[in-house]
Amino acid sequence: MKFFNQHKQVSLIIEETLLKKISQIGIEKYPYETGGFLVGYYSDDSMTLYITDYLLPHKQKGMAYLFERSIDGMKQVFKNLFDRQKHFYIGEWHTHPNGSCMYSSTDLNAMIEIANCETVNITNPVLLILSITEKQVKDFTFSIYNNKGLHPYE
Amino acid sequence: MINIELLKETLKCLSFIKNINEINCEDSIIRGSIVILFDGLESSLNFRFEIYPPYPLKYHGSESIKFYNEDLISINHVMQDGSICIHNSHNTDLKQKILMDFDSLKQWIQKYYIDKENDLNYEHIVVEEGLVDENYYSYIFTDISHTFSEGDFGKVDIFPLNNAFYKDKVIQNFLVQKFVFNKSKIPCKWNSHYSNIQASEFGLFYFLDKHPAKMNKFILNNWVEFQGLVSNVFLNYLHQFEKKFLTNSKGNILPLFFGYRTVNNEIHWQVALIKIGAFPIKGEAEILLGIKTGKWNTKLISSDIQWALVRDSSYKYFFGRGTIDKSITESKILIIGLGAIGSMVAKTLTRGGCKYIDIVDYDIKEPENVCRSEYLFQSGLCDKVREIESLLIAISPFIEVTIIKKEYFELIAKMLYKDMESRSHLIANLNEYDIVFDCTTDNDLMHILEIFELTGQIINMSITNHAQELVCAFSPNIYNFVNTQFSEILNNDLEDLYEPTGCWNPTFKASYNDINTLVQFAIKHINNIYKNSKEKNNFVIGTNADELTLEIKEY
Amino acid sequence: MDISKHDYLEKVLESHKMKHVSDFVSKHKTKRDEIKSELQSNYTGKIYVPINSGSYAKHTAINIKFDLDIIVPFKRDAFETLEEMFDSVYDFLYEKYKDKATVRKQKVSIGLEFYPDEDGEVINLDIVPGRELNQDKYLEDKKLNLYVNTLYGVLKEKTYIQTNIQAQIDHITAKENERKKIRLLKAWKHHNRETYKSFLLELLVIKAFDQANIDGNLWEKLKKTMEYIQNNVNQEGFTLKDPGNSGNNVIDTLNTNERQKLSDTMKRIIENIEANDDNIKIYFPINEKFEETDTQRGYGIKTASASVSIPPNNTRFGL
Repeated sequence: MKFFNQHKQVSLIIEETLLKKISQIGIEKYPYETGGFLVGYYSDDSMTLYITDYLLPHKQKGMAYLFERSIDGMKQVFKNLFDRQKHFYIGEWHTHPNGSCMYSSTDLNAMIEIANCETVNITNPVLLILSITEKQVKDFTFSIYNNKGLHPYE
Repeated sequence: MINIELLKETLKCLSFIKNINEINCEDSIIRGSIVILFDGLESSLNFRFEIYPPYPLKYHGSESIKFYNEDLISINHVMQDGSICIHNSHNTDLKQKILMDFDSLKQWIQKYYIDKENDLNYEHIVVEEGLVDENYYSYIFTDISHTFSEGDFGKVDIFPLNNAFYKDKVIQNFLVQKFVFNKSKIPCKWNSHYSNIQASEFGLFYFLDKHPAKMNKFILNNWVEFQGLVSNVFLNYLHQFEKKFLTNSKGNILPLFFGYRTVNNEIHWQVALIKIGAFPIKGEAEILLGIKTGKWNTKLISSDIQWALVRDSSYKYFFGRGTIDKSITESKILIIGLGAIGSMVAKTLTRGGCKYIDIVDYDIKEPENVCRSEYLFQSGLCDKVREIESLLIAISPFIEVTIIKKEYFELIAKMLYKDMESRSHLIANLNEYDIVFDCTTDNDLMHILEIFELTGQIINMSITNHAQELVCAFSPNIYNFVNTQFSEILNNDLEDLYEPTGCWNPTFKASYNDINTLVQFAIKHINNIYKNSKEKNNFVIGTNADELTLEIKEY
Repeated sequence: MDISKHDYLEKVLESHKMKHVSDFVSKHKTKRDEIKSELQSNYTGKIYVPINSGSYAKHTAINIKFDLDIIVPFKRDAFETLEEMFDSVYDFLYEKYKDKATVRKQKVSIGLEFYPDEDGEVINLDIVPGRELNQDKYLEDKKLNLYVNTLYGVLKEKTYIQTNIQAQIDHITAKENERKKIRLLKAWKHHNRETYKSFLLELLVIKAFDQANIDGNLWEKLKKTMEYIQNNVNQEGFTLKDPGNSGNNVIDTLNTNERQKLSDTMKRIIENIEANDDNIKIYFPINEKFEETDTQRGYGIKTASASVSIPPNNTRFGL
């Protein structure tokens, strides 16, 4: 599947099966929020992002309106991934049970924090939000973070 | 502790003390008497004095030395027991204090005994507060817009406020609600809350043409002294009244209000407490030319009068010690949002003498709101508007508080503001207010109010996390100013918020003291702007690094 | 602030440019031209060629508030009285546009506010009728008498004013430096809801450039302009000559208090911005609708080449 972002003139490519896997995890955790990391790589001209996999945090707190993930134990995972495949952390995903796939101010603040984080090397992390119900994913949105704003892909 | 020798020694230094009679000490109280004579005083005067153990310090806020001369009670500043109200000064040095106090007595003699000065201030007549069945009774009244004439009498509707303790006894507090005279009701000018309470009790009133006092300052203390002051018609009425209520209400206390005029034609009331079945009256056969006419007249009998405590709580006296500017107190005010800031604004304005405050908030008060707003724990969970309404009414009997429906802004205004017809209705409604305090920190509402271009003044108040700054903006320039302050200028820490467990509603961190310091400063500044008709420039109050100085920056 | 005040003000100006609303402006122009030709054919022989005025014509417009005015010069003998002229133009426009717009008499003009079009946009035009001062001299001296609708009671005794719109327009022609400051002060006026007349601000800026040594970068120039206003506007004897009518001292539209207030306001603005650069955003905000987001295309990385990223710990997301 390919998505395009007008704001940065960039594309995002993700396998449908990967998206389905992520959706399934979200549905299983319903009615609590859940989420994790997205990994992948950029094309040589930096205009396309290939999302290759997701990672689940080892520790997380999920409530109906809140999801908090830890990176405890994840540092080595990220390092190995880069050493072996040159794939790296490119963003985040989480669910909004019974909610829309609009990002919240908490989400935006989290993305600001991520982009400003010294150990993060990318300036435009992406955010995938899945709006889910008990049985299915109603909708999902990829957004790209840039300069204190989140801009959706189409 | 003072001793007699030191006292004698010290008094010898005062040449106007011609003689020191016997001084003794009993139960730690020093009693004695002195003779005073000095130039200008025709003949010598004797004064008794009493000095209590705390001397030279004060005792219960009163002086611990007293001078008496029962022969001088007609003179100004002499109490019924002959004690003289002198002006004492503070001094902790025993000797100095003695010299100062006795010198004050001399000054009193010069001023009031020799020069017969009259003070400009009106002094209320002196009333000894009476106990009835070990209870004190108090009656609080306010202005009426009616002028009574001598001899007018009728009914007074009253209702009880809280019972409390007063000088270690139970006091029953009453509010005077209205007078019923010639079948018409004369309301006291309380707010509608106090005016609309169903009066559960009543008393009688009689309007006098002069003070019910001896020497124009001591209240009459025996009923026979009232003979001739009140009309026979009234006494007969009292008799009929007692007869009517005797069966059902025997032993009940009936407050009898005596009204009279003081300065500027103001009315003051004194309340005598009488019991049904024990009215101080008797029937006396009318005799004409030595022959009984067969008619009976009611006369007063000799018995002590129990006077109640009476307080004039009219707006002028209630707020006499200080208000905010009239241009604000007379304004019709709306407060939107009753969180920490809104509740403080509401309370401060009420204590400042404001008369019309409407309030609106859709929120519920939770126990955790109490620590930094004006809410009380005691009332549990409740709609914020309800609690603020009762709080404001509990503070001031002159405040009119109206609760605006919670959906007025949340639903109606936000839904319909784009519809031109609805908008003009909303605007017309809101234009009734002279001042609208927006304490919601709701950007949507801020936007709507701004485009409404109301005729009244909108004042928007909000604070940053940790109560670092308070931002205050005046219409018409609110939206751009407040948003730019928060997003671009002030360093509003959005990381370190208070996030209670079990709910997902983070809020800023700050204590009651933190917030109220800023709110009070802001209201002081706003008051200053109104009082001096200054430009309404937006401003930010900041706390500097050591957090001990507040700085106001006008924009 | 992460950029200089100069760069910031350039962004402010950029975001207020008329080019961002070019479609809306062309709608205005179309309507304006239509009205002009309607008037010309209706008043053949009595009328000179209408001229464009207003902030758009003077190049001092900002996209949040701009006027496209039409000045309609009539010959001296076209009407007996100025009132007759005013009423005639009003009647004509009313008949012509009553079904499409609200037509109302204003102080010196007739206002046309068209009902919202298919895009929901409202076109506003002001038509200012004027009669040449001396028969057949207009083309030479450009002098016009305008009728003053006394309903607006500003000039109680006078019912007309003499002006020279062309001179007013010429006064600002080819003064891009001044125009930039005028646009900035207009942005200040609109965003901060100040009530000063744009014409007054225009004249103040032009006089400042004329009288004071205004140099430096954009912020320095703006600051010096404001300092000039601060130091002079409250002075007795300060004049602002109306280029359209030398007998008219435009500063008289403010009373002593208002002049002092303007001076105080200028002082506060300068002080606050000097104390904290960020305060410039309060007074001169960027029009967010058209904020230039100099967005770089493509995904960005912080170092020269890709490397491992460890996201922050305990990050929270929520509905």
